[in-house]
Amino acid sequence: MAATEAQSTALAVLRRNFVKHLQERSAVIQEIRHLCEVGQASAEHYKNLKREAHKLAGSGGSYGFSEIRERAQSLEGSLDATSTNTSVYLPLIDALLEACATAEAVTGAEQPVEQAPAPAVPEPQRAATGTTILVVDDDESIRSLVGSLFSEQVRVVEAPDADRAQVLLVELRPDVIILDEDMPGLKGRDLLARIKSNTTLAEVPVIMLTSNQRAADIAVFIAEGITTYCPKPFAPQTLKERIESILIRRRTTVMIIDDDIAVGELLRHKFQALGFRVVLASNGQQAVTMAKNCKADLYVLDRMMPGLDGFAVLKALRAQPGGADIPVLMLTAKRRPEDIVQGLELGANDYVVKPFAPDEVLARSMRLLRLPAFTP
Amino acid sequence: MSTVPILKTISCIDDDEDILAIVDMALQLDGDLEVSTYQSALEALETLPRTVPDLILLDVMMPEMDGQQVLESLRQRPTLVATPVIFMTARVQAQEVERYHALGVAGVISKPFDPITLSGDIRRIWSEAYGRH
Repeated sequence: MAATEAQSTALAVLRRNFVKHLQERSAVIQEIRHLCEVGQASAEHYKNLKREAHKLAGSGGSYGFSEIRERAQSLEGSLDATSTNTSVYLPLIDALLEACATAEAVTGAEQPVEQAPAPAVPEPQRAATGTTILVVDDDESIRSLVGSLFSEQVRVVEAPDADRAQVLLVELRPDVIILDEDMPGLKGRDLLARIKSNTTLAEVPVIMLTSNQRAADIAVFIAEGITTYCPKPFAPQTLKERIESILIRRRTTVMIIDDDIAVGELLRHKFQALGFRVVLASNGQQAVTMAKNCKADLYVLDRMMPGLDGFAVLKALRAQPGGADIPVLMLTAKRRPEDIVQGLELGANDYVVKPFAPDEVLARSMRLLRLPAFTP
Repeated sequence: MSTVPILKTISCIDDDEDILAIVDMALQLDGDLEVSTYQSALEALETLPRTVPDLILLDVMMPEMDGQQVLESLRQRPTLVATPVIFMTARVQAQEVERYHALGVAGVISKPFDPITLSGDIRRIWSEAYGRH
């Protein structure tokens, strides 16, 4: 489910920030430890030490560092007791510092979330070379119809049922999956659920073929993760157009630049649901660096960010080779005419004011990308 | 039967910026909540009487003023007299929780908390607070 994925991504980013603060707190604890050791710790120092331990138990636990929480609680409990015997505290302080150091090492090893999308981003191709379509339908005439819609440059792989599709999907990374809802054996919706719960395949757009015309049922399919649907019976041209619009989005990369994790994740989810490739940057410097290596087709850029702010990023992006032509949609917290004028002068192509309706961001983005308005 | 009003704006007061960051994230991902955070109780006391959030999350152990003192100060502001306050604390022994309730808090959330369930817990306390009236 999108919310859980967004939460764990956001939590991973916050954990790294927490660990950075941990270094400062460890230094404070180290100092007090030293004073304890040489017998120069005052009542004030013990009070501060207890406070640090108390805080670390709360925040460490909330961030999922159970070892920090346990050791901080041990230290705090021991300081609550009336003993002033340093041989009691010093090992507990050491244990806590060790847990902090371990936390740093562990989060250092965690895959940084902003790098995760980068290796997966291909060069956006306007030509349809190397495209793979997987069609899953028990009806042979439908399978061969899809095959006939495209030239030899597009590889159409056929599966007569969900089981065969699953076998193929172990190795195959299609650009789009055409999925029949009504099949004997495992149903289309069940296969859809499995695709969406697979981390490598979840991103692949799915077009559902269905004879079900009820809006409520279609809404359910969309909630379950289809990108669009094609009602049966269908004109071949209709299906071809839907597939092509998704394939174009698959070759289109949107870079979202916002220090607000929740906004970034929300937009990422929205764009990916339509079939776009998405790259996220949570600060300006990162965005500028990533833009050098990954050619985005559209930037969605937050105006207000700490460090390199939206205008500075905009300038840097425009200065890059080819950067003058890439559309930029700016997100701004205030509708201030001077902000908007300045942004347009610096080269922003369009503006959306926060708090925004995600559909407005999507609609304006589609226009900037010169793509037809989306209809799921 | 009293209807429960919609919870929209939450202000969180805690001297620990790591707690503020994770509360902010956890509640924003709820989707329907607007969160404002204050690292300083004094700053919160200046601003909240104007902004009047629906609900206040308040850390009990803070350096300048503790949670109880902040609560008393909040109640002295006419616009905040009826605003539900939830204490956040690492000390959750039964007698402490009773004492907090006697002070008039709507609920107590213990630290460490699970960021995934935080908004659910807050909504539950909110519903119970209005159900009691």
